Amino acid sequence: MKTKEPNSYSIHIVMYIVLTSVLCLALLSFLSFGAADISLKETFRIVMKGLFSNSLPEDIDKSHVYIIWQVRMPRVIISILVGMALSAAGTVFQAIFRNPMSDPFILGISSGAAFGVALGAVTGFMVLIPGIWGLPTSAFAGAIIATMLIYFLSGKMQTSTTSLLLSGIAMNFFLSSLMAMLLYFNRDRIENIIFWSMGSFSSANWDKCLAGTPIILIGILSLFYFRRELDLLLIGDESARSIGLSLRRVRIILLVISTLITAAAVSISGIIGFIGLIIPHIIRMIVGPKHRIMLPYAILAGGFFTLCADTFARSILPSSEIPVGIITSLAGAPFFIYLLRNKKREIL
Amino acid sequence: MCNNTIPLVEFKNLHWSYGENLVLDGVTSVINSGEFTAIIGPNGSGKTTLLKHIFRLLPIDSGHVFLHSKDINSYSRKELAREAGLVPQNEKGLYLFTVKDLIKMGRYAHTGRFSRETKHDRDVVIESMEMTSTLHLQDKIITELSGGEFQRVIISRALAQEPRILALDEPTTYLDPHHQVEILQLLKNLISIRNISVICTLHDLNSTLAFSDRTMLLNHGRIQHVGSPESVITVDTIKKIYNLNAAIVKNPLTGKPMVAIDSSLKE
Ligand SMILES: Nc1ncnc2c1ncn2[C@@H]1O[C@H](COP(=O)(O)OP(=O)(O)O)[C@@H](O)[C@H]1O
Ligand SMILES: [Mg+2]
Repeated sequence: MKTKEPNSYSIHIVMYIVLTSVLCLALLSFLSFGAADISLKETFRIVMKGLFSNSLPEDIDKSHVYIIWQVRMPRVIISILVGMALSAAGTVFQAIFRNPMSDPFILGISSGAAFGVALGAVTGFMVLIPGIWGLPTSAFAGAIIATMLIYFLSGKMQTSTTSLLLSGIAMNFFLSSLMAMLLYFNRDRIENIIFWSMGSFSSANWDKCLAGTPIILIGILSLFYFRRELDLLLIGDESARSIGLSLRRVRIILLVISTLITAAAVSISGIIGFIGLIIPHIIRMIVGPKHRIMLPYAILAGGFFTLCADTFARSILPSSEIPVGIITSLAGAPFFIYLLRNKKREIL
Repeated sequence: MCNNTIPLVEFKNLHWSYGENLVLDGVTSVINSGEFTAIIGPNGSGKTTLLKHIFRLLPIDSGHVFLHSKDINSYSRKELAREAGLVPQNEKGLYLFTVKDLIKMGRYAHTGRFSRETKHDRDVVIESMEMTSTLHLQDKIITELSGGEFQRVIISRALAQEPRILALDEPTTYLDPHHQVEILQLLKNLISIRNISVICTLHDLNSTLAFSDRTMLLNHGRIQHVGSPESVITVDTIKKIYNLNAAIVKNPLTGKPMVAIDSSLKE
């Protein structure tokens, strides 16, 4: 496994710019995918006109403009944001628990957020909070409780993969029974919640985009502030503290940030598994574990992967769509098993 | 050595228990600056625990630890890291950092969050690698190193902290004889060249005799003897502490005392 890093940081800067451009191009072209037949060329024109002028030429179909700007655009943007969020959160959870198998989904933190949303919806708590913030607040409340439980269940950050995974399994079981109970007593809303909790971007709209974007972007950006601390977390508690890291404080701050990012992602799209496991792992294998360098790659790759998965999910079947969570799990579960069987699973 | 050395670290009636297990039972002692202090003692006697207390890696049950006559609790983590560097025994090296990136982490306590890496930072890192002869390894991945190389890299990282004290937990236990001598010689040199004080736990009595200026013998969480290595490592103490029959003989090559152990374990 060679992860020798090119001497100059500027090579990475160039790569970030290239990858960002690729992501933007993919975003634009994937806008033309979907049930309504809108050509790539027309899509480009609609996007350009929408961005740079107010008046629309006569030859563009008004319904196409609506589909591109009100249906597909929020959806692709949200799928990218959620992918970025989950990948960044996975990276941080792996550093905090010093374990490559950590991921918001596997640890049960996504389920915690989902349960928070379900509970918030059923009890009416969500309605108490004004505007678009009810959903993310409920999700965060659920997620932070799950995070705290995992923190204590796993023996306060002992790094044994077994104990961490067992805590995650216990957490997921526990939360899914609670969820089932909740749904049992609220059968009228069952279909909506089940579909949503499987992970889907089909209900994406600009409102959700507006609520999630600032939380996710600020959360992700603040991680760069802790890039050196994230590195230090990987070398072990005692080594890190002897080098000068205020371990507990940093760990709690990072847990809160990554839980917040996860909750924002889940409140937008439900539970989408394994992105936080696969992407950081692959990126670390390619560019090494140094967060200043790997975080931007992990974030961009997470966005790109999720965008592709969702485009696939909504365009593979002619008349309906598959929840994107099913696609990512199909890719993620074999990867998870591969990691579990691999001796290198303890290496970050 | 000389009597008027400045106390560097001072333990005052230090107690520590892991649950019911009393590990440090009233340790009172000083560690002098400019010396090679060896801490010896049987497995489980509390050597590692004592080292950890110098870095505030454990909360103190009762008693005090002073560093430069200031209570250890009054230091911030970063201040502590600028005073003392640790080479722990249990760092597993399960990460894909390059040697250079790992050693650079030693600069953490010296650099602000937004300040860029200075020339001084780079020089210190290079110098630390030169001193431990790890410069040629700088682009290697940690998991590709041998045990001896990894140990030297961790020492470099501690040196990159520009500490005045270097504490090492059994740095030679898993090394072959050549690497053992290499590391201990390096520590000796650091004391004279860099004016660093070294605190080192050791198991090998002969290394202790050959390299340390002052030896502390720990048993059941108490300091049994402290003084020059020759005064601590005697036929009597070896019998009492390790339950082995031994003789102190003259090393024919160096002329220094060395321990010969009777391998028959008879009473
Ligand atoms: N993390 C721990 N939890 C509980 N007991 C411990 C722990 N670490 C060490 N001990 C106990 O403390 C005692 C002293 O250990 P240590 O300081 O590591 O001894 P040494 O380094 O001299 O071999 C031993 O009895 C050991 O079992
Ligand atoms: Mg020990």
